[in-house]
Amino acid sequence: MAVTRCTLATVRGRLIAAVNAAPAATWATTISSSNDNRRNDTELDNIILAADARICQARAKKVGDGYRSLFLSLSASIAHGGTIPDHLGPIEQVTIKHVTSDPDYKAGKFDASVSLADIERWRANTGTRYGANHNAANSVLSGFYIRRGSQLFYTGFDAKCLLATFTRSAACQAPETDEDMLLGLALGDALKEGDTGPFLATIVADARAEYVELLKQSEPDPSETIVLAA
Amino acid sequence: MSYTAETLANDAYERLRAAGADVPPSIIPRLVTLVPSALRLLPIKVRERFGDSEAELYRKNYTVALTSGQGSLAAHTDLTSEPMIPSEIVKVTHPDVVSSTNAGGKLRQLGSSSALDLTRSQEFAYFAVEDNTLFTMSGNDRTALGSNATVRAAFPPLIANVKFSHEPLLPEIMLELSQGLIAKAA
Repeated sequence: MAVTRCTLATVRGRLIAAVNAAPAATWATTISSSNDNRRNDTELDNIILAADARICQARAKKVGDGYRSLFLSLSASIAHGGTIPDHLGPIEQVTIKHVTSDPDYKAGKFDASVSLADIERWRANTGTRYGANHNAANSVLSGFYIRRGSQLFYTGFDAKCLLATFTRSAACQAPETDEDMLLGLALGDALKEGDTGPFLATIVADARAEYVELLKQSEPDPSETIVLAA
Repeated sequence: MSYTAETLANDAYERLRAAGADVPPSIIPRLVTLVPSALRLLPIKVRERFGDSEAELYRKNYTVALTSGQGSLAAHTDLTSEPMIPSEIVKVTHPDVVSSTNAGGKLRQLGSSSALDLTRSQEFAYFAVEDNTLFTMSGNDRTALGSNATVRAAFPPLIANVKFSHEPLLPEIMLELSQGLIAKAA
């Protein structure tokens, strides 16, 4: 089921209501010489989208977060020894296509006892000592991987990584359930002198506390727990 | 359905897991490398467990050319398919030693080639295997035999040719061979 995201217009409306920041009808052409609470729409949108980005990145980085899937996608093919593309947080899963004719990519097998030398030796399969080659059908060699920093080494025909990424756009991408947190974070950025009433300060503090909680990493890297062979 | 190297390795892995061994999946490729050794041990295990008559299923005749009473076994022990297992030679025959009391032309086995230097009863012919070479003696002459001797010996079967009734032995042998791997993996 598609997750409903925060709506920029709704958050902007609530933000304007909270700080009384509605731009006057003539604001675009007539700049007030006195201090007031008004901001133009672009400024408000930028504040909201910046806060949205903070929430999205926090969720995207957090393994096990229920909404991380909103930001996950398969990378392009990564060659053996190739570099894993930029991403947020831990890799969700390394997936490997064992044979060129396979219709799908299967979860890679991470095994702490496998070394890079093992991977290279299995790929070479000198003397066919391991039976079928690593990228041939029914090979026992297929599907293992090891990472060295951002480099991926594996056995099998091709690999892709399930990665979390986030690209800002003109729309909010945080799930709708985060609307209050989004408003609170935006409010913190939107406050001007004289806006810091106890009520607003509470909203901002609550939102920041919620955001800090979101940043806490609570689960291990899922792709590198041992996956049993099929 | 007969085993393949891959299915045998998987079977051995499953047995290890079922037995509670904490072995990672990467042991499976390593188990595959043990398959040739398991196949080489199979005829020996069959002989030990079921006796000579059943072990005959994994024996065949190899023709060894003799020159001055001796011939190399290398051509047979170096075969990539069904090579001779010299330690499992069970019979050597030669047409020149056929007699009324030795209709099959069998030679009697001695422990080493030096044992052929001793004077022995001429009623029999003798052989010994040393340095991957077949040494013979007939009529107390170590150079008497030429032509071809027939050597019957065990061979490691191709995995697809293992008899159905002997297939359960293969995972057993694999587990025996894998003890070193398990100890390392644990």
